[in-house]
Amino acid sequence: MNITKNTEGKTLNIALEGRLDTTTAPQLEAEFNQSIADNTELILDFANLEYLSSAGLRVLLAVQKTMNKQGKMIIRNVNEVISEVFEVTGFSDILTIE
Amino acid sequence: MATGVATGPLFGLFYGARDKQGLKKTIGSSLIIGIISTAVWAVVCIAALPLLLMMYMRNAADIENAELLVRQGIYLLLAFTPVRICAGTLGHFYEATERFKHSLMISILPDSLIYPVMLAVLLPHLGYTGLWIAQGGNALVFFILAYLLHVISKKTPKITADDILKFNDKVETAVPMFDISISYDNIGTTGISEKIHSFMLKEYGTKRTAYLTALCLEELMADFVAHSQITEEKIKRDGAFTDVKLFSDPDAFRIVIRNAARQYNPLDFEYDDEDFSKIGIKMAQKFAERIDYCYVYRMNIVTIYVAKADSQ
Repeated sequence: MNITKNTEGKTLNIALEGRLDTTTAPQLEAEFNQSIADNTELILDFANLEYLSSAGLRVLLAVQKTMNKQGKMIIRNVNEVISEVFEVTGFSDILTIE
Repeated sequence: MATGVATGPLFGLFYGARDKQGLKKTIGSSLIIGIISTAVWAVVCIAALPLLLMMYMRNAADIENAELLVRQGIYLLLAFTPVRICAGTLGHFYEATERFKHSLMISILPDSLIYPVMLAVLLPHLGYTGLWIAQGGNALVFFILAYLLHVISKKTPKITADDILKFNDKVETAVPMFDISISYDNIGTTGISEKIHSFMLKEYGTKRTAYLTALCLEELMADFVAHSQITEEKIKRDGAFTDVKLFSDPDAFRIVIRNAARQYNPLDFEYDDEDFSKIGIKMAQKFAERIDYCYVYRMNIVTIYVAKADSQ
């Protein structure tokens, strides 16, 4: 999985590419732990994310909880199947998806 | 006979996974258990014989005569029992593996055709002895005739276990779409999920079907890894492994995951809405048409059906 990030003021933009699964989820978690501390807004771009499993969902849930305390998190450009995963798991009620 | 019936589901299970080794092992176990249980019952019957005869016969002279006849019958039936157990087990094997012609022949011919003929031939000459031989030996005669037919049709006297236990031609020539054994760790789990995802995208289903197949596989396998407590040491000692097969059935893609480890049913859990601890399995259950679990021969076997209709 490729993680591309850039910061604009207090907004952190992270674009994910490839698979967010059991293997790559710890990589994203480490990236969040390292980068989100000083930001009030986190925008995740899923345009090139092909695959998301429950391991990835857990990381998203954890970071959502963190961002709830310090600002907000938005997920953008979610493809149809990943959107269905959010629906089926109830994550669409927890996350802000645009 | 009862063991033959009891092993029916196992035959079906291993046939579903196209696992010839598992089927052979099941047949071997079935025969051994059948023979042992028959021997035990024979000893019990022989020991109880005087008591049983006293209950039904009043005349002492009759009892002596009857006891001789019944003993002879028990010994003769016992001698033929291994062959009858083979017939029963093979009948269930053929039934479970969709070789229905063979199943019907082995179920019907010995008792319904060969037995009356033997009875007609042997009874006038041997009396009750002929009756016991016809009763016990009809399966043996069936096997002898089947062997002769094999020799004539194949023009060779040689016959192997593989000849007897082969699948029907359609299945025998088919291969799983995807068949792989992997080491027991997370890298293997996601690696196999990724491979199946790529394979299905390239060869078969649409994006959604490929995604859901890979997702269900990863969730189930990741759960096994988390709960089976397999260590490198155990793998070396017990030869633990996980293998995955993917089949294309008419209505669904079928994934069979076999995991040689301690018994663990990934479908037996209580879901907690708060911590999402089993969210992966819950998600797989929602996306898959069906997920089955069983534990046989120290193997956890999970079968996941992902509907092909989902690809439309």
